[in-house]
Amino acid sequence: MKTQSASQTNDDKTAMFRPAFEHMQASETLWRRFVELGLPARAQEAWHYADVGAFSRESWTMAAPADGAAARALLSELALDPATSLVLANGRVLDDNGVEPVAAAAAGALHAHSLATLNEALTPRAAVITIAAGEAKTLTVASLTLPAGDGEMAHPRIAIKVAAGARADLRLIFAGSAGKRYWSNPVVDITLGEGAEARLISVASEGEQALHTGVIAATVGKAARFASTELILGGRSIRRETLVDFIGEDGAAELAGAYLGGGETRIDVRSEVSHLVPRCRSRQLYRGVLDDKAFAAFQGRVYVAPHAQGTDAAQSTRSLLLQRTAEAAAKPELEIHADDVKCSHGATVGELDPDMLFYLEARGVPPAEARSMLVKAFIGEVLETISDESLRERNIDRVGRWMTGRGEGA
Amino acid sequence: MTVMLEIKNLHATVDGREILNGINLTIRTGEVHAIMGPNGSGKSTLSYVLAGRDGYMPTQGSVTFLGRDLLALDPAERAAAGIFLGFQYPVEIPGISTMNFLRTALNAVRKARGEAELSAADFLKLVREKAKTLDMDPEMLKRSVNVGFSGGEKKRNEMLQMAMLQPRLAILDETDSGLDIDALKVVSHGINALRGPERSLLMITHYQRLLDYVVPDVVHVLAKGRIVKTGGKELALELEREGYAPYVGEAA
Repeated sequence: MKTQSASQTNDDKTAMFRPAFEHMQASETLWRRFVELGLPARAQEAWHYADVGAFSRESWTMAAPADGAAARALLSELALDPATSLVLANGRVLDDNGVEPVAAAAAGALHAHSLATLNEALTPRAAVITIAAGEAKTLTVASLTLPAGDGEMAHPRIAIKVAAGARADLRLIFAGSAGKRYWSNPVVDITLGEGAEARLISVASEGEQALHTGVIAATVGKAARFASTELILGGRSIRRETLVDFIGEDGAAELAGAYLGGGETRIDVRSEVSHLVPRCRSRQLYRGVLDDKAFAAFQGRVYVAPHAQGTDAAQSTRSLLLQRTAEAAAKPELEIHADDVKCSHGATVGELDPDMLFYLEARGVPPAEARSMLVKAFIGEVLETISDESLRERNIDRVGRWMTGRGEGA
Repeated sequence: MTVMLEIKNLHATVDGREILNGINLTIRTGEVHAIMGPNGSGKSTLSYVLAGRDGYMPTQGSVTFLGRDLLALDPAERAAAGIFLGFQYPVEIPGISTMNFLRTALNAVRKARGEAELSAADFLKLVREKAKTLDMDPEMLKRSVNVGFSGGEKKRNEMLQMAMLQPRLAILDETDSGLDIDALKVVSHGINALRGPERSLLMITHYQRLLDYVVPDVVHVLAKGRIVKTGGKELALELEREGYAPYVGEAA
């Protein structure tokens, strides 16, 4: 009886999305998959810390195609050049720069992911970026959400195919209208061929009322290298998930993330690295800074399959609470079925070091600036993974501006 | 000589415990004072109260620095006003390069003093010149503040900060501790380079050793939170010979 009533509730909630499926003429197969998966619930391990109530709190409707002028205004605010960027507005390709939107079905981990299924159904055509064997490409992708009113959602979908020996340097920025209650649910699906290399630098800087639930799913081939650095510093409720599947031996993945939350921001960062084959190496480095009544959780899962010998996995997460009213949770999850593996994890939560603050202040650095310097230094470990100096500086400045914004708000 | 620092009947507590118990001390412009005393006499507490550290609570008395109420200022304002505290244990700050630290501090202090910020080129020239006089490898300045520095390197870094900030009153807390004889000479040279008619020094030390290199005008003995004796430089030698025992008894 209990199970039935639970699934009944889930059906009720998924039913809220039926009009959107019909509006987008999504297939019945996807609808059935979505209903079967259900909306994420707190009882599911992977969604334990998520703001699951937000998905059904309002009747989300599909955002209509965005106004080009509004998109361009936001791009210029973000100092992005539309001529050299791939721009998605409300999930639709606005400036294609040679990128063709095509149908791209989800595979692997995304197939069993409820919100990725919603994304697949409601945005049937993905922006596909292909880098041919042996080639290298650098591209900025901006995903903007510009709703006409509150309660609108967008499901941007980006598929990246990095062929054998190719190299991709991608910068992704997720942003949207200030002051509007919108939901952005982007999926980035990236496949790396043998010996390929991909570096992603993502910035989630949504409007202060926004709900964001983004997934990056990487399928890493033999001896390929995937590096992802994320900076999360804007939005009301943000979930960022990174899923890595090693499907070829000797692959490497380096995940780094920094998240900053103030006010009543809720941040939910999750990673899942699946070592399915031998001798792959993964590194995870996450740093969070929380102020006011912000809450953030980091859940890092490492799975090592029975035959994935020689796995080398390490994970480190640290949080800094700028006020005692802020809260941080960290939950490493290791599931290891092989015996010849190296797996480590470490998690700490702390406050700004009073000795360091006094040392800076005793040298004449005013208190607000001293705090900002220490926060930038704390996040620095993550941002140092960005090799491009000007891009790194720009992101350090973002952190500095975030701190300045907090000072003014206090 | 005009009065630079005037401490009157200063009492202070740490964690509710009274550590300073009525300090009276006047330092005139250009003078070098040394405060000596046994462990636990309140030497470091005095330096922290003067620099404005949280948790070091003045409860009575006053401190006037160049005519201003020092105790009303926050630590950064005191630094801008011309106070410099040389730390006994310089703090390590991972993720902030020494260079960035020095530039931020110098520009903050210049700004507060109504001076223009230094250009990147002028700053670099200045810091290289000062580092050289302290025998510091400029490569060290790229490293995080004090992280992985030896004891001597940390103290040299303190002297570099002092040379950059050009304070009016430098309070040096056990600057000689942990230094070998070569490092002691370099650091003493750094201190002496700052001496001048416009500047004063307050050296806090347990041993007389540093005072061979930086000769004080006035020596005070601190015991149980009070100054119990004041004399000339010969007092330091007397303390070295006879120890603090007579003073500890006297204050009790």
